[in-house]
Amino acid sequence: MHELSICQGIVQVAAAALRGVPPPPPPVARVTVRIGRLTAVVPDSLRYHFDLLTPGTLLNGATLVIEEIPIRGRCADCAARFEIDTLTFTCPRCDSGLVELTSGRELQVISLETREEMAGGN
Amino acid sequence: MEISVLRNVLDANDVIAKENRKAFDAHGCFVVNLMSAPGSGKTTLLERTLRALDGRLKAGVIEGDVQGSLDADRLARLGVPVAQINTDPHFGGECHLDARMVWHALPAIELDGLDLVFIENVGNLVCPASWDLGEDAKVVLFSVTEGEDKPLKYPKMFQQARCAVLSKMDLLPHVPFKVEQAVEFARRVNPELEIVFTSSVLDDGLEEWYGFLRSQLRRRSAA
Repeated sequence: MHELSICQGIVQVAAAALRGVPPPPPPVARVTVRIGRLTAVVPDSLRYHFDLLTPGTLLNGATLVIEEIPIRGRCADCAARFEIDTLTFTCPRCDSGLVELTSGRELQVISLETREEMAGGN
Repeated sequence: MEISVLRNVLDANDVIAKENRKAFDAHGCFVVNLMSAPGSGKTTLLERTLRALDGRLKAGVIEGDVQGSLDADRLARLGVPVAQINTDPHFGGECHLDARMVWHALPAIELDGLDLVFIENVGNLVCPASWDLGEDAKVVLFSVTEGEDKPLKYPKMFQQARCAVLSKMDLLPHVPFKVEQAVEFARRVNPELEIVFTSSVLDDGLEEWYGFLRSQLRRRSAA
């Protein structure tokens, strides 16, 4: 549902990064993003919107690479670290409810990989 | 060649959210972002709340809908300033409000002299959780007709909320909803969550809801 707006954000952030390199902007082969599971972003839907949005932009022809990040927590009481895959945000060791999330909320553009021009270039 | 970026996708939104927060702070407004599935009773709760405030606290509303102004019209009848946001001109009807939409709505309500601003988000338990609007507190509603597992199905929403309003308690005798289980699920995803139980049609539990608002206002003026 929110993948379209998130994709618009990805394109904006990536385009801004491309403006930071000496012109002309190089063609982009891959855009790598990090998506935490707690964001409820559906990877397939994100790729679908990416392919819809990027033609005509600096990211034309680029592939979206998604690193999915699990939800991880740290117990504030017993300091245990664990992965949360059952959506129970309590400590599996001591049952404490004071769990600090250490990952799972990510929604970041990590890097762009440019397409290398053919050597010799004629 | 690899270009390192390492930036948040919603950076642009967060920059505007910060500006919204500055504007609200400059006028001393406490801002509540009210979220729920469609039909949980956000507008009805707001109607009750605005009536109960009865001028003792001045409140304004920013009303988000995909289309139309039915909810804004209902609330404007109570004589409070209401700004309507329709998300449909943006791209086929966004399912959530973003900071930019709120920023554009600000001129339509006079923040000066307001103690409270309620932002009624688009009915949806998924997407609105990701967009900071510049609010002070997120509040999530869910009704006894929706099933007690809502907090486990939409953990991000419940994780970020400061208060959950369990609404339509008057229907409890007619539905198989288990209140204790709902509370347990909600606390499982957010142990700090304050939970109030309301029936807007019977005027039940609303005192606790107003109590939550008053405590937030006190907390803020003490800060």
